[in-house]
Amino acid sequence: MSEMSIDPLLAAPPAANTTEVWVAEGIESTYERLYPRLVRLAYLLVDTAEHAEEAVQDAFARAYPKWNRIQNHDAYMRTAVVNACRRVLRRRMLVRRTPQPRPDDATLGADHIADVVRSLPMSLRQVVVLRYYLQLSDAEIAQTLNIAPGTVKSSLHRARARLREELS
Amino acid sequence: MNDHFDTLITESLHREASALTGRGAGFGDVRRRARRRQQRNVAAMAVPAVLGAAALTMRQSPQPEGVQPVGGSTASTTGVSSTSGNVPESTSRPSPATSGPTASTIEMVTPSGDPTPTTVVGVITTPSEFATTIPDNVIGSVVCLNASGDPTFAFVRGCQISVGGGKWLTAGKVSTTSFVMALNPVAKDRADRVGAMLGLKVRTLDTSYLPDSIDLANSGADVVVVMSPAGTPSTTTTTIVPHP
Repeated sequence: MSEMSIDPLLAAPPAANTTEVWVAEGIESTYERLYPRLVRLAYLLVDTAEHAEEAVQDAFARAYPKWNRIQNHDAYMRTAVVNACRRVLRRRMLVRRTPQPRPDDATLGADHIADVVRSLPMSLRQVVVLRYYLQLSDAEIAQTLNIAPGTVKSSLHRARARLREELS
Repeated sequence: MNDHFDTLITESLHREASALTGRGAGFGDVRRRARRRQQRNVAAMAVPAVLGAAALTMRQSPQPEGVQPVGGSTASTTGVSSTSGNVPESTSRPSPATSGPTASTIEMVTPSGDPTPTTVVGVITTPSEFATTIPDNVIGSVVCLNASGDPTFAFVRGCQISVGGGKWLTAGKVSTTSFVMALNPVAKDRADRVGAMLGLKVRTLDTSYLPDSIDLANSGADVVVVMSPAGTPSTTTTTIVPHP
């Protein structure tokens, strides 16, 4: 397995002794720090760079007025971005009921697994991305998506089964 | 088998994500989005406020310059009225309530030529009443909290500075003094100006004063005035240049 560069800040909640520093961090510096990583996370969920950036900016714009009241900015923004991606997909569903090829479909063959992940329904896709891209635990995924840990487990099980089936 | 499959998925997602080349939008875009969102929220809440104001205005006798009358020195008024148009530079006119010995007007004035409309967002009745004329881009999202512990507290009963059309809310806890807080970092400047206007100190955000019953953040509010019998706003006339 090649070395994976999992971002520790995205991969785990902050340690207790760093919380104060994080709380004190302004929205602008947090934006600078997290933006590229959150865009990549969003990209795996919404599948176009444009929509990914849109989702991340939307998430920050919504967090902007209540920034001082957010305790863990990184975890909050992670959840906010996943929610923003859901909104993007919902809007897209309204625009077109049938899936259309992505603009950069020519490159899709390069990584078939990622394509199959993208073909999963959002409820499964978000769990797969949070587990395999951000390396979050079941509890962290449950907290991020506001679902029960048991739901995370069953979603992962179903997602794996679907992926195996598609890739076999 | 499971481990290998998991590894394949992980590697694949990382390869896919690292191939992304975004335009790297700056924080200015976020600020613009946030401002648009706030304006939409304010607009959505202003409609019922304006309708309510119109209804109140129709029920009362005409008053000069569209500002609500303020009652006697011990009475409180809960009316709110709204008008638009530019206030000339350095305008500072007496309140209709100047019949009272301690009443005065606080106005926030836009710079000359600034197209920003000015809205009379409300009337505050205090033992020394004053009316407030505020450009809506300056403190259009100020909410008053009654931290006196007394729901009949005369000062806040008349407080009408609010984005929601003239309401005050009960604070999460009682305070022995009145002060102003910014709800987010960018509203610090606005909080300073509101504090200066009302003659109140600006404190760092203490969320325990915020009421549980309403999500102030989503209401578009960004400045909170916590009011208590001690240190109610002063009534000095103040001219404040709006937020750019």
